[in-house]
Amino acid sequence: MGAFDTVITYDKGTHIETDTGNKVSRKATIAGATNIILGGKSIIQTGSILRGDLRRSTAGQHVVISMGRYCLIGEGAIIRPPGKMYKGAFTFYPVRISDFVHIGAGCIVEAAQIGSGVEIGKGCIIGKFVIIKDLAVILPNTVLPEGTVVPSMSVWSGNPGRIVDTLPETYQETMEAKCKNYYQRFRPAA
Amino acid sequence: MSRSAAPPTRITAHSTSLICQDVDLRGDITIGPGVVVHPKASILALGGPIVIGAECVIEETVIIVNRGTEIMKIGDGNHFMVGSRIESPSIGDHNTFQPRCKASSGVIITDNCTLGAGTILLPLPTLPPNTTETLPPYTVIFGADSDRRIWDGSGEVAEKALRGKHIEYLREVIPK
Repeated sequence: MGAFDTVITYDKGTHIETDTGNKVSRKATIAGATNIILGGKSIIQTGSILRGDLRRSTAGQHVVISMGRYCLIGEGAIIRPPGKMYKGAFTFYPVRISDFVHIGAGCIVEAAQIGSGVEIGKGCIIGKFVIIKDLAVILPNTVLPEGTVVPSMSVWSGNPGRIVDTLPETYQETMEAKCKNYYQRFRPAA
Repeated sequence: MSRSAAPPTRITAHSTSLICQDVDLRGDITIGPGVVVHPKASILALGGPIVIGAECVIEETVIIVNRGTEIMKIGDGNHFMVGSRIESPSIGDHNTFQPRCKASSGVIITDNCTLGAGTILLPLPTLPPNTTETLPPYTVIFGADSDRRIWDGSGEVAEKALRGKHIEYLREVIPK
């Protein structure tokens, strides 16, 4: 990670860049786009699926998926809101994703909340109503069962996921630098 | 594999079923009442036909394949979650297929079974090769090693009620 990293290029027509610097692949499946908020400078890669149409039952506008800045949704990752019974009726609940979150390729995420500086490796399955606090690492191919709470500064792995390690105190700076660096390297082919 | 051998697409969907855009349906498929098929799901009747019963939910990137020549019969109230891959020749009622599980063509699934997230269901290695195993009702497949155990059926009524409400709600919410 540094100034000499190679640039990740894409063909200009394949991604849409918004005013706030979000880069969204045209080949991503985004249902219910009016219910999805991107904080800016986030990247949604090819083949990912975001289900903004699975909203709460009450009338009016609802935010289904909210995402902070410098986030990355990898190729083929699926983000869908979790649903459960509440007072005898079924409803979906919103997904809140903070800043500096990297979600790897092929992940299935049905979490309720993902804190800032979280890195989810490729092929993970994050179950319904999982809460991931700030600064955590989910190693590739981890399966987190429904309702797991991942504390700060922890590393998780396995099926079912367990804590395997802790993170150093400097991890916040490392992760923020990594996310900014990735965003800067992800640009159209000249 | 030659594509030309695939049978022509013939889909019979019940009037109360809900099939989203962007799904891949191939071959002879019958879909029962109240079924919800989410976008990006694939139902491929490459060999024999596929018959899906009432009130099933088929989520994103689920792949249901029938390579054999017999009818693949799927019962009522099954829930296929994101990314599961199903090749079983027969599936009973009220089964749950959690995200990214795989059910091979060598196992017949009965009723009220659960395949956990990321598990792979294969016939027991102690059986002679090329026999089809029948999974007993209430079996749960779980964990990294795809172990088996039997569910005692607690919370079954609540689970079924949840399914019913879930389908009802999906039908209301998903844009037509």
